[in-house]
Amino acid sequence: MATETDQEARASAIGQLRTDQSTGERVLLWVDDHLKWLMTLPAVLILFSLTFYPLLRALQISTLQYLPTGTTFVGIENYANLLDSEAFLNSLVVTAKFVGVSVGIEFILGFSIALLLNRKLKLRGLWQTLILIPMILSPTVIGLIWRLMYAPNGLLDYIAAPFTGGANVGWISETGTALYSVILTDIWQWTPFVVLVLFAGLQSVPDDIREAAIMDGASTRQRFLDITLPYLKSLIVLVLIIRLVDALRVFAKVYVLTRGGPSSATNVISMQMYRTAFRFNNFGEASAMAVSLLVLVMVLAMSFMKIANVEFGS
Amino acid sequence: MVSVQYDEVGKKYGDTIAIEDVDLSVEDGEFTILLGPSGCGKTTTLRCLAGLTQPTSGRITLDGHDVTDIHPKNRNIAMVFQNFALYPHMSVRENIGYPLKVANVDADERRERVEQVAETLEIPELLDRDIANLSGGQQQRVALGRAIIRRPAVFLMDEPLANLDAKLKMSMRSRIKVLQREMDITTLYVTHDQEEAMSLGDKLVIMDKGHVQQIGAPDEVYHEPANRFVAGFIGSPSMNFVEVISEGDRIRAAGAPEAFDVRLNERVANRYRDHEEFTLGVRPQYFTVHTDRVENAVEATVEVTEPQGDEQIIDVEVGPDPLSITVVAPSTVNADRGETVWLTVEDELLHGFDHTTGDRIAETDDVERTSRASTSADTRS
Repeated sequence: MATETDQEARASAIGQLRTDQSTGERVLLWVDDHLKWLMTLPAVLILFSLTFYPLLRALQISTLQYLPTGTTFVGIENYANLLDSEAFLNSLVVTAKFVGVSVGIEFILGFSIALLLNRKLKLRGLWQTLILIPMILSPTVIGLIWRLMYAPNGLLDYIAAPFTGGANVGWISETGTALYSVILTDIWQWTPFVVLVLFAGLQSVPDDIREAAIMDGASTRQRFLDITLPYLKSLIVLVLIIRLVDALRVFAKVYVLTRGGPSSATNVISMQMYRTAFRFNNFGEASAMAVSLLVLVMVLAMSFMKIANVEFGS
Repeated sequence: MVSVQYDEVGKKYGDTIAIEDVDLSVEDGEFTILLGPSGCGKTTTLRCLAGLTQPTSGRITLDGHDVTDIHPKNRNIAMVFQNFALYPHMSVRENIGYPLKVANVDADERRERVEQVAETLEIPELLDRDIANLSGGQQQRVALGRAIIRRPAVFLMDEPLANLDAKLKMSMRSRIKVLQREMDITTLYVTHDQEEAMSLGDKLVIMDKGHVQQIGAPDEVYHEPANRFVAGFIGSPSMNFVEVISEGDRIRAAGAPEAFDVRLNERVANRYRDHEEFTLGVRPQYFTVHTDRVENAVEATVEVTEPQGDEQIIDVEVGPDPLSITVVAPSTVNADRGETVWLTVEDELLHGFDHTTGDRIAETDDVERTSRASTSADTRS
């Protein structure tokens, strides 16, 4: 063999192995290695100042009492007052009703629509797009649209006329119906989200596993319970957590539609918070509510995830 | 146990023909292999029987009962999928027992039968494991277990070994064969691997472009290929094809008439008297490689050799406008790149294919040749 070429090849390989590095090169290599941290730093800083600073500030304010003469430190008195505040306790009940009914119906309705879409439907793409429209509108816009529809002699009165005999229904102006009208609006807005997530989940069930179950002799019901549901389990938990947390914080829709009224029929926590802070200038108590709501949301979300984890483990 | 019959079964997707005019009968207990390149329609053929694909024409019968419109879950057919399709959230035990569970077999009997099947497949220790913690071979066995536990009428397998490594493939292959023999279940098996097909099947159905090309025993399709496609698809390395001109008892390559000029014995030459031009097909094994000049041989230059242990695959070039030919020779033949060798053809074992249709030109002594060829192949290996 050609030993000369062999030696040349070896020499050039060694030539590429370099042991000397200049300082400039070292700095560049360090930047190269840590680029991911440098790139994310600005975003992390912004997130920190917009999330953690307000949180800490809210914690601080919740320990103060605001008087015309200035502020005084009152410790946990604001929190103690909350437990005695009928308005706050009432807002908790209203919020619970709102969250329970709206998320419950959104889930059932959304799951049903997702299952329907998952069948071989004509014009499926069109239905998918139409269904998603409410989700891309902002809550304020949705509130305004629905306020028009709920208005006396509005669209809904017109639709309901055959049942009511032409009399106007006080959709958002009567204590009996106002909360359910707000809930209806929320369902209209958020069911598409449930559809979207669960439909994606349904699509992710592998064809061959579905077919294997058919070949194994499973009926439609058995396939749904034994194959589809286990596949969707984590997505179901996810969608419920997201909707739960979001529904607990509902504000814009209520503000635009009813401002928490009539009386306090739609006075959800965030509405009560808003009133306390900006109507009564009681920032201390409002902050205490905000912190309590945060804790509530965290506890709920975490216990949900806990349940989900337990289910995953089994 | 049942027999399966396809009558002119076809499946179209819009204007695309997946399969057309598939006529096929599988006897009770027979192991039938659907073999062909990807996209040839073999899986569609299988899925039509499973009921997972609805044929657009023709009908399929099981023991004379038309099942074309019967729901797959009511056909009592079990299937093993290429990716095993195990239920990821169930244990091995639950996976194997699932067909019994949905059939409402009571828990005690279920447990007993699952354990029996696990015993047969030698995986009793895996029963309480999660699917995610199994190796490919173990998953394969679980999939087999789930398919056989119900004692189905027909057993379908869609490339069940495609995802296993070479060594595991060999051992699973023999296991599947033994299992099928013991259970005596009519089986249809899809594969693109001709070696797998030859070693497993009682009957091979060779498909291409949605059409059945040939149905026959492994020996038959190997030694009496119906057409050029089958001849080229079966056998490894592939058969050599050379366009030739026949002149009396001599054949000459159309592209290299000087270099490739072989005299055939009279019996063989008579077959091609009526064909002035045809395609000659010779398996690489049926050339003999000589390192010295011999009578009636083709002179060739060695391009590359691939040692395979006992034998070697040699690619040679013939003529000035080189014609590539692949031959298999014992490893004792000493041929290096660039060297000249001489090839003789075993003329009894060559085939001729019609220029235009690709069909094999009739060989009147087909049956006799098959037996002779297989003895000749035996003595070689």
